[in-house]
Amino acid sequence: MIWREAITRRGLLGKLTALSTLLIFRRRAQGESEFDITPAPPPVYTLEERLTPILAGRTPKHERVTLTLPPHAEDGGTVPMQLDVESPMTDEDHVQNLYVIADQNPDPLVFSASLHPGGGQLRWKLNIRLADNSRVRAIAEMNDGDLFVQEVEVEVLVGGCG
Amino acid sequence: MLKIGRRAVRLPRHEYGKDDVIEVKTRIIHPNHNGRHKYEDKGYIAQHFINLIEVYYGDQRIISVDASAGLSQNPYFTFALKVTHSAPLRVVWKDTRGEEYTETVDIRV
Repeated sequence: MIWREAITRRGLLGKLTALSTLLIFRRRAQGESEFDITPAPPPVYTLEERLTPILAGRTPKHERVTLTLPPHAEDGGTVPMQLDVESPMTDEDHVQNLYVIADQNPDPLVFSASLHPGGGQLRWKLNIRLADNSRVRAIAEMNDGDLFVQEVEVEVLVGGCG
Repeated sequence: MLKIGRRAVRLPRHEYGKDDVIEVKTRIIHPNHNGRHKYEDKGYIAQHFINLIEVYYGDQRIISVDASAGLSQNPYFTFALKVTHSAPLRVVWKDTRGEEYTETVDIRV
């Protein structure tokens, strides 16, 4: 009978392995996300289509925005990004809109954000996707309409947009 | 893989006072499908991603991020916040299927 069996190192290890494998697979199965299938991918946007409405004829100055990205990204699916904008974030002087654009992405506009004073210092960290070697731009629009930009070139080893 | 919608908002562990700038870290578990991945010969995995992240400090909405599928899987968002008063800090995530996820932490000074 099973409980009379001597506990051996080999037997115990085997049982533990079986048990942990079982637990891992159960966990995986539970977390499996369901998804829908569509016949076509979403539309592709050009850089111009995304950039023109933001600039609206204005030329941004290369000041106040600091965009930090790794020069070489191994995985385009997760590229860590830090974004700093010099601004007191007061009612009189604050960043109103913030845009991040990856030139080579199928949809270059990664995000557009609107901000309200009261948050204090502006320092954000996000992980973004890059489809290919690309220039990434961060554009800050101040409450008085001034535009500031910084552009960074990133080399991507494996693209993150399928 | 963890369950979609599992989320966290973290305040710093260290002490902070009025007018200090603290770092708030937020993260949500989400596949963020961008709709461009082929699925066998059947077509493409449909878009399903977080397209809005909002941060409310008290009653004031201080940040609103309209995202494309250009954010990574399990979007992570960290921001600096100047502590001006004690109030709840509420983070809201919305996705392209209309799901809404909320997490609130209390800022006390």
